[in-house]
Amino acid sequence: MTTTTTTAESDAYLAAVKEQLSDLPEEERTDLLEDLAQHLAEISANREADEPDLTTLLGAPEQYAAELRAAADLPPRTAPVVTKESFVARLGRSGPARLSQKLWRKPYVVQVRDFVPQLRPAWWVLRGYLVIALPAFAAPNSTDDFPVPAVGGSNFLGFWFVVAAVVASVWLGKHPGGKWRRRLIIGANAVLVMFTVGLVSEVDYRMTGGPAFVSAPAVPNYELNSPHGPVTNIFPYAPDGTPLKGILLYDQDGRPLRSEMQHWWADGCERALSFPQAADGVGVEHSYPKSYLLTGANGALACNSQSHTPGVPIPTFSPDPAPEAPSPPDQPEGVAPPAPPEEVAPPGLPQP
Amino acid sequence: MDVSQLLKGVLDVAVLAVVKDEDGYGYDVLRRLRAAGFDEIGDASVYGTLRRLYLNGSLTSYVVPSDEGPHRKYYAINDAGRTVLEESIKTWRGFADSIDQVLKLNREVAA
Repeated sequence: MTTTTTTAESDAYLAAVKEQLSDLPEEERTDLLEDLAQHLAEISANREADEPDLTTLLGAPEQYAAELRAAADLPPRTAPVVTKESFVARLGRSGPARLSQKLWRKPYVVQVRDFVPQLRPAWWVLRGYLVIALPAFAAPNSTDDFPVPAVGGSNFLGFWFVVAAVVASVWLGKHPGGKWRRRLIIGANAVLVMFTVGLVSEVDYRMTGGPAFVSAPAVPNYELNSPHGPVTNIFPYAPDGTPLKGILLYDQDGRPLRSEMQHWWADGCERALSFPQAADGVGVEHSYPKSYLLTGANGALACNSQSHTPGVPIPTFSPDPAPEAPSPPDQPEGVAPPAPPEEVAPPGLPQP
Repeated sequence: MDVSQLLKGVLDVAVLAVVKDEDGYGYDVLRRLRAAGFDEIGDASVYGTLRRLYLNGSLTSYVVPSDEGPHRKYYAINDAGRTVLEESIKTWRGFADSIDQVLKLNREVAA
């Protein structure tokens, strides 16, 4: 049997049929045309040499598509076919445009669309008012301008100006006139809206005495923070200055205190965090100081060893234990950290 | 009855009948119908009918990979399709008998 790959002839025919079905939903069309390419290729390949081309054999693509619709129980084509696609037509068929067209026809959007024109007279009235009121509001000492703007220092005069402007605005609304007048009106409307928005934010600023928008504090959500930034490690020292290791830290509610991972090092070397492991094999994140192991040196730079010294001298304590933090008698004086007060709850998590 | 509906119904019977004993792909079905004497039958009609019968559950379809070209979509009749075919055959016989009766009457009147 003949090899059935698509031919230029069948491709062209298929494209023409596809065009005719362009009004169908994408999914349905794809389904319908799924194996039509192969089907047409087969017809094209299997016809005898003396047989005419596909169009003569199957009829015009338009006819073929119409027949296909009828046989497959699809509605006949409604919209005219755009054979030579203009740029606008292509744009109209692009994803976002199609989505917005779809949205445009949604019932709730249609409701809003039908409703908006009814608001037009209200806009005409508002427009007339704004034309007089805006300059009055914008004047430096605009204290007595609301709701009736003062024109030339007179609210009475302002009132009649507003009435006249509203009448004029409504008249303009009902007599939009020619293309140029309409464009002029649209432009003037836009300017008016811009001024209104500007003035509203200005008034808001005046009334609140500061920026109208309060932004959220710019502190990232780190686990532990100091005024200098996120805390990436804690180095506990005994009162005599001995660095301590493997200290477990909990907050006031018994939650383990976790600190941020340190990603960047002053010497440019890379390090990986390593946790001590509890007996059950689980890493203990709140054990301090955290130890970072070198994973890669950075070229010529020597990686600094991880010795830690406090930035300020360690305070000296008097040999007498402080009364509020007595040491248990059986421990060497001054070495053990102060025992927690009795009323402190034990950590909320099991001890590793 | 709408003529296009009638033709559609006839095409359904014809297509179901030619895949009753042997599954077939689109071009295959078309050839069988042509061989049976439907010379004028449109390719699009056959293709569309297969699609419709598949969608309304009278046919199932499966894809057979082919070494020579693209994969072929075969259509096979199922139980629902057989029921439709049996019903349609009964309807067709009744309809054809009625037509015969009318034609016979006409001939008698003409004679």
